[in-house]
Amino acid sequence: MMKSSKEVNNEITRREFVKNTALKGAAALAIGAGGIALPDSAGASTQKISSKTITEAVRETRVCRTADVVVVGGGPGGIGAALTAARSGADTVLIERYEHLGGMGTGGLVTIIPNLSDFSGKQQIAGISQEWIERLEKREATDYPKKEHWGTEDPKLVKYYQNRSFFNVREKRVLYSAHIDAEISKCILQEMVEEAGVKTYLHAWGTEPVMDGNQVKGVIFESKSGRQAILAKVVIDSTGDGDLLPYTGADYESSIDKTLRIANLSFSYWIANVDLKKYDEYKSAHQKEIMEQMREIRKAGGHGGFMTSNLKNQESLVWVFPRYPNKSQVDVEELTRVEFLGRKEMLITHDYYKKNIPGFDKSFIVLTNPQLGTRGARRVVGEYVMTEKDMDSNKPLEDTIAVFPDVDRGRKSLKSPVTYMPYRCMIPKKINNLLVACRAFSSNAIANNFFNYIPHCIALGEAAGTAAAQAINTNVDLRKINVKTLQASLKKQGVILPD
Amino acid sequence: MSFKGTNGITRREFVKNTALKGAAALAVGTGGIAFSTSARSAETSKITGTTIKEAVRETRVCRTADVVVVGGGPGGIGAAVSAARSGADTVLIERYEHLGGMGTGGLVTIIPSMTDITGKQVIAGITQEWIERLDKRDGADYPKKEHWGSDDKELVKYYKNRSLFYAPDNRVGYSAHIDAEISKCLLQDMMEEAGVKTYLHSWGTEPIMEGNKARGVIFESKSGRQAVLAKVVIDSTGDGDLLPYAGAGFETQIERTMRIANLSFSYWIANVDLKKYEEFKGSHVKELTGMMREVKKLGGTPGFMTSNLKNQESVVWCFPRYANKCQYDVEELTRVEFLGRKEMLITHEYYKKNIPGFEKSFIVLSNPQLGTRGGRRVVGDYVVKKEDMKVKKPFNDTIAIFPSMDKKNPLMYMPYRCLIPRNIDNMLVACRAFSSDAQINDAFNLIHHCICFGQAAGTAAAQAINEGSDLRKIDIKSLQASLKKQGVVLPG
Repeated sequence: MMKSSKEVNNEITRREFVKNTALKGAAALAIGAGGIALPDSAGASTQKISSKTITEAVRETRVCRTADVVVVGGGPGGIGAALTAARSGADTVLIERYEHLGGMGTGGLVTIIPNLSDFSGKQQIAGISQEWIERLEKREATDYPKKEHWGTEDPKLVKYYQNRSFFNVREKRVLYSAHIDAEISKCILQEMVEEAGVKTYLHAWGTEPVMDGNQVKGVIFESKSGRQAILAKVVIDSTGDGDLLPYTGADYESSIDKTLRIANLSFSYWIANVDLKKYDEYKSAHQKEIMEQMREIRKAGGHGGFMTSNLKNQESLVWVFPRYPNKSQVDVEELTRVEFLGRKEMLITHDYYKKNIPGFDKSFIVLTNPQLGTRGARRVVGEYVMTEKDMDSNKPLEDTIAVFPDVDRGRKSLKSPVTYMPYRCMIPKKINNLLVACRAFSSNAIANNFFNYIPHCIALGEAAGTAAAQAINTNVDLRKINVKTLQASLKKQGVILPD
Repeated sequence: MSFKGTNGITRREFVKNTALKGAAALAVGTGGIAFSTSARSAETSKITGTTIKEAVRETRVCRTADVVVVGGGPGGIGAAVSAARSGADTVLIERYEHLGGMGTGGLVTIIPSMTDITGKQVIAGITQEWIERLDKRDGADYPKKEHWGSDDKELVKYYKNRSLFYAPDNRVGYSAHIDAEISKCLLQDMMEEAGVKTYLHSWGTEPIMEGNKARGVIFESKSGRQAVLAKVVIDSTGDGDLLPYAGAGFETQIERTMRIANLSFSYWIANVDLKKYEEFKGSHVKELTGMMREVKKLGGTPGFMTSNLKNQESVVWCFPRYANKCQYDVEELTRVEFLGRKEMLITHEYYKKNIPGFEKSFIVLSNPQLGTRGGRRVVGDYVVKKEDMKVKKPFNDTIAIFPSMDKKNPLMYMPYRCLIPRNIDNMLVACRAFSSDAQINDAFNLIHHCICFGQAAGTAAAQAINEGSDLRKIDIKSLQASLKKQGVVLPG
């Protein structure tokens, strides 16, 4: 016991603290200082320390809440999952590591929801992606090709839209792809979870599942309030990287061919106060010079090329998004290395632009990605593993829960313009009460490479959240839910599915 | 369990691989990711409604070091750089993807009050180094050196108009506006040059304790739960996150009227035509006051600061304060984030619609870290109390001098002992959780204060390890001499 404990009015020792907390029970959590829960074995009463491992003693970890569904990760997958679970009547908790929602779509500065329509111009992904865009629209915070132009091959329009954004055109056809505002999106997503009645914990890192054999029973999360647990009937892993998988004993794969897009991390940043008019004038009159300059930047260790914001009043903002090959995107060593390298090369790049490229003379770096851009890591081995064979097939699966336009494979895409996603690709083999709704869905590297963007993850999340609520409502296992009912619910929510 | 695909790895095989390869494998990418050998944490023995019982577990030690610093904010920066420069093998663990804490991610892009009322600089060291490095990239703005201490009315007016930090108390002082993004880059340069091993995206959650001795730290990351063993652990988490687990005493009481009782949700508005705004302001003082009242009535936040940095003429900074029950309660942090964003939209909408100069503005950035000001305060070997502000004599173990707003007692001395948690060994607290009452904490927990605490803690830790002595028993005169050599201003 601390001698000092009596000396100061509000001083609390660990033991007293824990005792207080325990006496007050779970309901005390919300009451501020007194409600902070630290586990009973707050001290890491280590039994043995060696240079290779430490032995942590048995500990009691406080359950701060129970729920029907707990979703780990508030990125696109988690947003989709939490919203639909809550809207379907499930008591839903969302745990997010950062201080905002939206994941890569906001904090990662991947401010683009691409490939919503197929080549014919038909919108295939709607649901919550569409809802997000419509809410942004009300605040003039999104930009995309006009609806009447989706699918057009008119060379003039194609050229116009291509010039506007890399994401607007594939195979000389205009697509529905939307640039979105990161900050307004954070606000809108928070409105959506509040309206749906989702209980959200920000600044909370969901680190491990609570397991009982092969049954998932909840999640442990770390926060400024200490280590705590949430018990739930269904856990949805929307961590992006499948962070819960190794702890559940689920199988997963992680091989990625180095040539694939998803093999790269991104370190994105925005440059502000750019005179784009001046730049465009220079560009059109000095094409050769600018090519040479881009070569020179790369030689200096920087990064050539950028995208424009396209959003209203953001005419002086450009977005730079260098890619970084790496050994693993779930290795803390690699994440740190790329952050350091990214910042170094950012300065090289910006110094060069400022000095040499007209329009950038008064520019400054306004923002680096609050989350590093991650693209590919663990992929669960689920009840169905998506591969390129499924991309080549034009036949819906019985348990299709999403239709994704296939637009990034050139002529192959023209042959099979949509891909059907089965519910089973979110169910880990052998593990119960767990769904994976993020880019860790069950797929080989190639299928993952094409379908792990923002709208894809939202769509997977929508299906997972809806399925979880249905399983709980009908009191059946996640594997045994009535798929037709699930599909009907998704359609009602605005998800586009085959008839 | 079956092996799925070429690279499909089951938990058991995974753990086996990891164990066989040993600690050195960590850096080798996928194969090197370390999960604790009892990766399946949740061999939960018992689940009740209110607790779960976690089984005994082996947690992998990924590294040993002399000094491990938890938190890469101002305190952690000071501690890690000075420990490493003093020869200690130093590890820095940072939760976010950048260094600088409140000074960068918190958008508290201000290093204030480094001079006393005479204009003499009393805070230098790593703070000064940071600013000088920024200077080379036009990344800082502050009153000219020859003006520090001046009470010339014109100058005071000029600087006051430029920033509320430049001429407090009608005297020009040395306070610097700093660039957040450039700072992140410079701080990382400093870590690398000093040879600090940094882990970003790493949440240092618990100390490893052996009785009352801290032996290292457990941290969570995408690589799983791991441990770093060290001879000295420095808590630079801001909130004293390690204290409850260490069994250290701490205080939390803060009067509601204090600055540190508030959280901040800061954000930047870009594309503002400040010239137009200034013109409007100059000729419509009364209307503007009325408008600010209206913003407030609507639930928004009146007032903003200008960036002052080169080429950032169109950026303004809003920094609303939020009263709260506790700044380390995840419930409260979430509540204030939600409220902050709501009120940000209200504020910006009003500005855009009604205030000349803001018509084409947009919100470019909200703080990547919520602004925290007051959490736990360790009960140290010496608790700095408000009465100490009146003491004119330096402590024997003074490790920093802070300018004070108290005219009669313009200098505040800080003792080394306020960094040492009572009854705990091998641990220092170098952040705003230093041992202090709420009043002292309120006055002296800003960016540069924390850097100073860090610089003293890191230097002391390295010295203790070099001398082979306890942190409490190091030669204070040597510590002070080392700090002076590093550019820290001390008495005498």
